This record gives sequence, structure tokens and C-alpha cells, in this order.
Amino acid sequence: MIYLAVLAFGAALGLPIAVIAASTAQGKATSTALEGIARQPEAAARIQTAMIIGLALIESLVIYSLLIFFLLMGKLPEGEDLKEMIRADAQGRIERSGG
Amino acid sequence: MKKVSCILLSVLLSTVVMVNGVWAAEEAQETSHDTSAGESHSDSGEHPHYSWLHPLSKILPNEIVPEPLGWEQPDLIPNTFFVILILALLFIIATRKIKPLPESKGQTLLELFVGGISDFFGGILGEHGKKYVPFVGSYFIFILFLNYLGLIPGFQSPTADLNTTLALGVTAVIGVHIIAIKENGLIGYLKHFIGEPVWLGPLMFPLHIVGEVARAGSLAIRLFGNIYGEETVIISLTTLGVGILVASKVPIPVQFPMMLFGLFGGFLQALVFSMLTSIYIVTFLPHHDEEGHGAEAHH
Repeated sequence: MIYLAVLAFGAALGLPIAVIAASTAQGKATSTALEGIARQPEAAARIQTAMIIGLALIESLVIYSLLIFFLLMGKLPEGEDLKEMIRADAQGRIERSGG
Repeated sequence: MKKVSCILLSVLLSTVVMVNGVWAAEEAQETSHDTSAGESHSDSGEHPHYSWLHPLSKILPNEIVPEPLGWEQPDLIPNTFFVILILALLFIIATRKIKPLPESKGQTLLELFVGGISDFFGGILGEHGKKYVPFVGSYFIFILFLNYLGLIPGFQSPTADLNTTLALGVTAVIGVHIIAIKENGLIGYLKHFIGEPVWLGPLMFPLHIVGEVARAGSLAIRLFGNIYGEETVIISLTTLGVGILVASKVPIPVQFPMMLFGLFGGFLQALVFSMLTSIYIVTFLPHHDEEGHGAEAHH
């Protein structure tokens, strides 16, 4: 039971941490690209292309984390299985404390 | 003429959205029946989501179209063949009577696209590598059409499955290595793996090999993750829309903005895939010139 609780916690916590780091990096990349465009508007198209590529590469790391999330979500029980497990766990606790 | 095309476009878009909603409503109903009957699966449940090309996979023998064993996109291969057929037809029809000064609209449009792709990838590959533009350009067009196929109701994106993207990634990296051997010869190709200080060679050699394998894997997983994630979000939003429909009898296509994002994301992922392939080719070409294109990325 604790294993499943920790699993759910880990699955939920992985993606937001990746998103925090990725959004920081993407913000820095975009701001530097904008500074470059402001300094030299003729190079706007090339800078924009390089910025989009950089953003896509940073985004791909978040996507790897999303895949792990899907993988772990598949391992969590739901529906009838979950009810059975909670019932069995409660039964076990009653027996252990009562007996 | 413009008004008619505007009306046609809006009719087409609303049909697409409605059909998509009906399709998802059927799937959601089947899912709810299954879960109420005691199934305990998450999204990719007992019943796979077939597409309209499923009869093809039933008719054709198992050597050409294998039966799915637990795939999430069971109609992968008929959909891929469909895209190949569409691309072949498109390009054959547009280049039937090809002339140096284009007169037909098809040829002009095609020249626009191919010229744009050729300029873009030619800029990255440089003068020495311009002959490899067809290689990366084909990857770009193919992956673009594969990504967009999932947005059409009734079809599935083959790239939303790890099998397709792994095949694309591995063949891209193998192609890059074949190009490297052709350009540098076998000795020069092996010298690239050893790196600059020769006494560090035995350390760098396995590192570079693992790096190449990681390049193939990262190309595959990036493409797969993006397209599969978009598709999953579209399915979840459509289920939400169906819930709204059931609760309040008002049909709202909630998944529509996500499909627009799917257009953008599909294009971007195709671009990133082919651009990374061309950058990998550039790292293997002999560096003659200093053009100053700082688009090199070492993973």
C-alpha cells in the first residue's frame, strides 16, 4: 500500500519538476533571442529559426518525462482492483490491531 | 470564388470536428461499458481503436500487414501505406508534364515547397553537402504527412507509435553513417570516433558509439512523445466534450484548439527531426569553410 502511495507521488512529481526546469531554460532562450532581434532586426528570420529549434530541443526533454509519467500511470490500479486492495488492507489492519 | 471556398472550408472544418466528436463518443461509450463490466485498464484498454483502414488489414495476408499484438495503434501499417500512396499520387500528378517554365498550378506549388525545403536544408548542409538535401527533405515531407494523418477523423498517426518512430530514427542514423563512410572513407570515418587527442582515443571511442545510439533513440522518442502526447490530450478533451454534451445537451468541440496545436506541433517535430539529421551529416563532412552557421548541436 505504501509502495503504491509512493509510486503515485513519484509519478505526479516527476513531470512538474521537468516543466519548471524546461520553462526556465525556454524563457532564457527566448529572451536572449528577442534581445538579438531587437539589436539587429535584419537577422530576425535566422534568429527566429534558431530559437524555435532550441525551444523544440528543450521541450523534448519534458516529453521524455511525460513518457515516464504515462508508463507509471499504467501501473497504478484503478476501479475494482483498487477497492479490493483498500478493503483487504483495512481488513488486515483490523485483524492485526484486534487480534 | 473566394466566398465559395470560404464556405467550403468552414463546412469541411465543422464536419471534421463533428465526426471526430462522434467517433470519440462511440469510443468513450465503449470504454464506459467496459469499465462498468469490471475491467480495470487505463486508456489503452481491451478494445483497440481501429481506424477506417481496418478492413484492409483483415483482407491482406499477414506477411504484408501483420496482425497487431497489443499495439495501441493497431492500424499502423495500412495507414503508413495510405500516406505513401497519397504522396506518390500527389507528386506524380503534379509532375506529369514538367516544363522548365512552369505553366500548371500544381507544378508551381510543388516548386514553391520543394524550393523552400531545398533552400532551408541547403543552408544548413552547406555547399559541400547540398547533394544530401533529397535525403533529409524526404524525411521531412514523409514525417509531416504521417503526423498530419492523425488529425483526419478515421485515420491514425503512424508516428504515434514507437515502432514507426524507432524505424525512422534508426534508419536516419544509419543513413548518416553511410554518408559519412562515403565522404571520408573508412579510415577517416573511424578517426571521427577517436577524437582530437589521440591518446584519449580508447576512452572516446565507446563514448562516441554510445552517443550515436543515443542520437537514434532521442530522435525516435522525441517524435513519438510529441505526437502521442498530442493525441492523448485530444482524446481526453474529446471525452470531456462528450461529457458536456451528455450533461447539458450543448455540443462544444473542446478538442478543436488542441487539433490546431497538433498542426503546429506536427510541423515542428518533422522540422526538428530532419534538421537534426542534417546537423549530424554536417558533423561528419570535412569542415572546409567557415560560414558561421551556429546551428550545431552536440548531444
